[in-house]
Amino acid sequence: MTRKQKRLMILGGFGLVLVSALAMILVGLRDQIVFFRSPSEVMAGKVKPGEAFRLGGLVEKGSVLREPNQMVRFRVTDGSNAIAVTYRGLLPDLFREGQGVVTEGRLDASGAFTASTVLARHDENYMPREVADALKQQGHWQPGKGDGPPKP
Amino acid sequence: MIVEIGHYALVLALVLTLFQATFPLWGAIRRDAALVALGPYAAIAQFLLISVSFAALTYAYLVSDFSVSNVYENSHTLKPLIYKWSGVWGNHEGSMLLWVLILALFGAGVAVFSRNLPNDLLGATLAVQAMIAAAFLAFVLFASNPFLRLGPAPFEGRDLNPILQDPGLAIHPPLLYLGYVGYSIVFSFAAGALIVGRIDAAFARMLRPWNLVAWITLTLGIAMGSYWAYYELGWGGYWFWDPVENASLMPWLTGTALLHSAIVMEKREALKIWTILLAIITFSLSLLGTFLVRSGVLTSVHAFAVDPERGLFILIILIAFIGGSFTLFAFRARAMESGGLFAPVSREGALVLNNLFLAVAALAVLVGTLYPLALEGVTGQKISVGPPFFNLTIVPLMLPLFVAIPFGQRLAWKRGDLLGVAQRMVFAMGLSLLATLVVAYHIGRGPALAIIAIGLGIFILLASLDEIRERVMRGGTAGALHRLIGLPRTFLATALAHAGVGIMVIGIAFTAFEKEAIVSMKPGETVKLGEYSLTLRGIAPYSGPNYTSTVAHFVVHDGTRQVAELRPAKRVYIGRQMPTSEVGRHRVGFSEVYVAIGETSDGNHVDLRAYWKPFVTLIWIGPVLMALAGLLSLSDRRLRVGAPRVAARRPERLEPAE
Amino acid sequence: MTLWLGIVVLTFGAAALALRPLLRPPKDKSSLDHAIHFYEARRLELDRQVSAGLISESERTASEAEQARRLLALARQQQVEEEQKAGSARRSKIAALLLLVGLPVLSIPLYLRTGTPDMPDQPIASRVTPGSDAEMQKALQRIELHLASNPNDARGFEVIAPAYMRLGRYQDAAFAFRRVIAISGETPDRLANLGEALIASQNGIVNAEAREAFQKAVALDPDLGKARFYLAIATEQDGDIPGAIRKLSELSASLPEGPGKMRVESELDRFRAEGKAPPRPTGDPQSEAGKALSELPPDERARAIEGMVDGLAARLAQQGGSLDEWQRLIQARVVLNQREKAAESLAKARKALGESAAVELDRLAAALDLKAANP
Repeated sequence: MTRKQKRLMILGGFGLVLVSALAMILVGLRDQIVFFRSPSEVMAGKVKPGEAFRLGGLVEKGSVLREPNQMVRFRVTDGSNAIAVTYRGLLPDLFREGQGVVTEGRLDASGAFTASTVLARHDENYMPREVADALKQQGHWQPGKGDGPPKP
Repeated sequence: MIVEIGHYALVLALVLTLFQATFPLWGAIRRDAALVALGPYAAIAQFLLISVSFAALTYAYLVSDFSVSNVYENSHTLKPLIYKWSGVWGNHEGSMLLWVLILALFGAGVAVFSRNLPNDLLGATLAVQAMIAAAFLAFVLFASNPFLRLGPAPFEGRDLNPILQDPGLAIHPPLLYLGYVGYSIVFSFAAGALIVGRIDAAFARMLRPWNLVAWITLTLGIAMGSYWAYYELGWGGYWFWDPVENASLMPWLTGTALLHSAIVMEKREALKIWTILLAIITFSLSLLGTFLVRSGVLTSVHAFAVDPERGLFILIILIAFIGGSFTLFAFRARAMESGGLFAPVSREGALVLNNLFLAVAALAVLVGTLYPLALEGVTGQKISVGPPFFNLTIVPLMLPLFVAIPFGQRLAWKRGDLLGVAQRMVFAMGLSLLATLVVAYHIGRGPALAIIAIGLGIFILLASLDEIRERVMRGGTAGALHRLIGLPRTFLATALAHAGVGIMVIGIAFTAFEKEAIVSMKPGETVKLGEYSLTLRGIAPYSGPNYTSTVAHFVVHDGTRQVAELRPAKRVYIGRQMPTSEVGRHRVGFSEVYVAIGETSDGNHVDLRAYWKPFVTLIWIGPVLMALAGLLSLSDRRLRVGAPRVAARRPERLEPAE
Repeated sequence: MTLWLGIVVLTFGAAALALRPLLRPPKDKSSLDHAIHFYEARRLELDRQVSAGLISESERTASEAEQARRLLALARQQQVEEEQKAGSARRSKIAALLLLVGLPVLSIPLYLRTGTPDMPDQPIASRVTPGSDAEMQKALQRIELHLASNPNDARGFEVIAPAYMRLGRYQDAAFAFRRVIAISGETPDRLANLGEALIASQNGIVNAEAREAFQKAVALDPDLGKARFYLAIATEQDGDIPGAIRKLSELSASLPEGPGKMRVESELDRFRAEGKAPPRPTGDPQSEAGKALSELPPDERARAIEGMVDGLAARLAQQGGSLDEWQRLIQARVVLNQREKAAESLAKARKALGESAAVELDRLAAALDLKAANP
């Protein structure tokens, strides 16, 4: 093998690693990502049954129903629309009625949402960003600006 | 008075950095030793000033001075003392102050240990370090000043956040910052070397200790954060591919690559351009991490500051430093002459391979972290890139890298003999194959990939130990002990660090075989967890000093023998509707029984999540061993000199390094 | 004073430390010296490796040759770069001067801009004075302990909640109000208090829970000013500025003069300042004329307003009008500093509206400090 051929082979090897890694990244970005949807978007038919997505909003007041075997039913609302969610498992510490929540799961054929993961806010001041955006779109939440009412 | 002195010290530090950023550079260009020497002294003064500032803020926290807005927002008189103290950096402003304190600490460190540095490089390095410090001091003062005061001071602070009241969390951010910020000095060295135009083995030797310190602390910081999430959040996971975690992983990946490429540079004067580039990239990723965490642009379970203005400020700093350094790099890179030659199959070649895989892995993490942001910016669609993406891209990159580790560390410099290396490892290979078969037989069915990964981990571990054995036993048992002591510490460090990788791989692979039970239990009921069984004895309320909790009392049986009692709890702090989980854990060797309970609606049953986690602690023992190996290497002040193996016949054609 | 002493000490301490090397210049460590030293050290290391039997003699020779080549290259480069070190003393002087002057000149004004030099430290221990918050804190802790063991004591929560509000512990206050409601049921006041605490804890943002509390409160008592006020604020936070202004104006109109009304008016003033709300009701606030009016120069505007007020007075005198219109007229007269005419209008209003409005008009007269001129 000449020096040139050898060099080409090495460069080819490097290129192969890079190209396959990039291909994997692209495939991953096509197949392994999850879209975020608000209840209104789901109601508008933007999600096909069986497609995994994240549903975010507020846990509707009075909608949480705990059943035996750790089944939990609740509704996620963005103020305009609400989607019923079923979930089996432990809820996060900060899961609360009226608070922000992000759930990941799929719709079944009848339009019911089964969550595989439920994420709640992590600390006092934290509102999942997508939830805040979705609520803002529905006109139910605005970040505090300096001209809010002063504290009484 | 003390608070205001602290504020002034911070302002003074900012002004001083402006001088430190210019005079030594002037001196370096003019070859004026006196001006250059102003750099180290200014760096020490800068560190002292920021220490005064940090001490003043700490004082305000300790005495609960609520006239300081930051203290009012983030502290409370009823907080235990240690958490008042850790509260200093438990918030955005305080943590940025800690950031610049650590930055100044590294600058002062270079100043103190600068006796062996040539003047021009020292001047340029400290000037660059001062530029970074100036940017971040300005950020602290103008966009997140912790010393702002409140008109009439309130009588009570606002924060008693229980989830942050944890010893692990008190140490975690400083450690992670030490690592992040440590790479700033590596960056400063690289930029300094580019400015003065001296990029050679001597430079790599000077870089080594700083690179190691940054890497050690970052490694420990990441491991600790992972451990904290594991025992505090009650989800039983050790890594969530959360953007904040990714932000620390990216500089670690490129920093690890840098650690390896710098060896080649020091020993063989090769890979110079690449090493400098890696130093720049690593610090850029650290800055990017700071930006992501501090601006709140990414959704994350950790983000506590969401403020677009701050984000913009850091973004500008980010762009200025990355842009500036790459421009400098583009101007100087051509001037670097290529160094020693080596064949593809050689130690150098193996290290290049290592760099390739680590860099591509960092790229994958970067894409996965930034893609949602970019997509939202362009199309407005919101997506999340979760574990499936990272598993798909990172695992195939890491497996070949792990296979290469034992071979790479045995290959000779300049020209290696792969077959010979393989022959020397027959013993280790056979042993690990045997061990893997035993393990596979023991756990029965399972994902093939996980079994392979376990085998790989065992192989890396055994091969590393075997290399030490081989070195020691060379020339028989006589004098073996003497040879063990005489081994270069860097050699031992390499073997140990790689053994740590093997241990970590074993731990991670074993998570595929954990047993999980998500059930609702009444007292007296039992649930099986692999070979263990978990029986609920009772549920009882308990009142702590400022919380009430529901405690579940479990006993763990191994067969019929009771081995442990566990009391996982759910705490609710009085006056705040914020529950936290107290996880019950029982350790058996390296494995654990892990129980977290949910909220109990009535006193009759409890929802719980229980795991049998085999060899789970290895996940953190591995990185700790890596960090220890780093310390060992740090203690070795010997020079690394490559001695090329001379070819038996006439020298073959060699490949240029770059 | 101690602060300024501290500032002086810090400034000159830092300057002195940084300038030390200029007074005693260190030995120059040139790159070439350093490189020679480094390569010497490497040679020794190679010797050590040879004697330890780690590498062979020929390997050492190869390595050394490689290094010698590098050293030569460096030496050549250094020779080119070597230059005179003249002017060092002059540069040192410039640097020292710049630093000594620059440090205080830059940092003190900068500090005065961001800092609060006249504010002393206020550690909590030095602030607790007997008879006030210390005792309150102690009492609070007693009640908290009591409540921890008696979580259904509504009275206890009712007592502790306002105390929390006073101390700025809004989260805790909200929790306490919530408990009160859970134990003894919803009343408009309790709901409004809960909502207020929630808003305070959210830095002024009306969240879903607070909004719900206010809505319930208003449903129970439609005249509850506090709840209506915050609902108007919530409307503003929804982005519906006109709606918020409408609600606030209605609320303001329904409130008697007093702190409550002033609070509402101050919110309205905020909108007025931004030009989003019509000015205070001097003329006819809904008309286009009002808008045009505000764009006139001051004295012309005063004249125009006077004309409009006179017009209103004439219309009311001829055609009669509602209580609201009469009140507006009287207020406008007072604002224009025409107190006599105001009194006159008041009297006319009493006559025109009769007994039905007497109470309202008395209240207005009291608030504006008007003596009714006898008709």
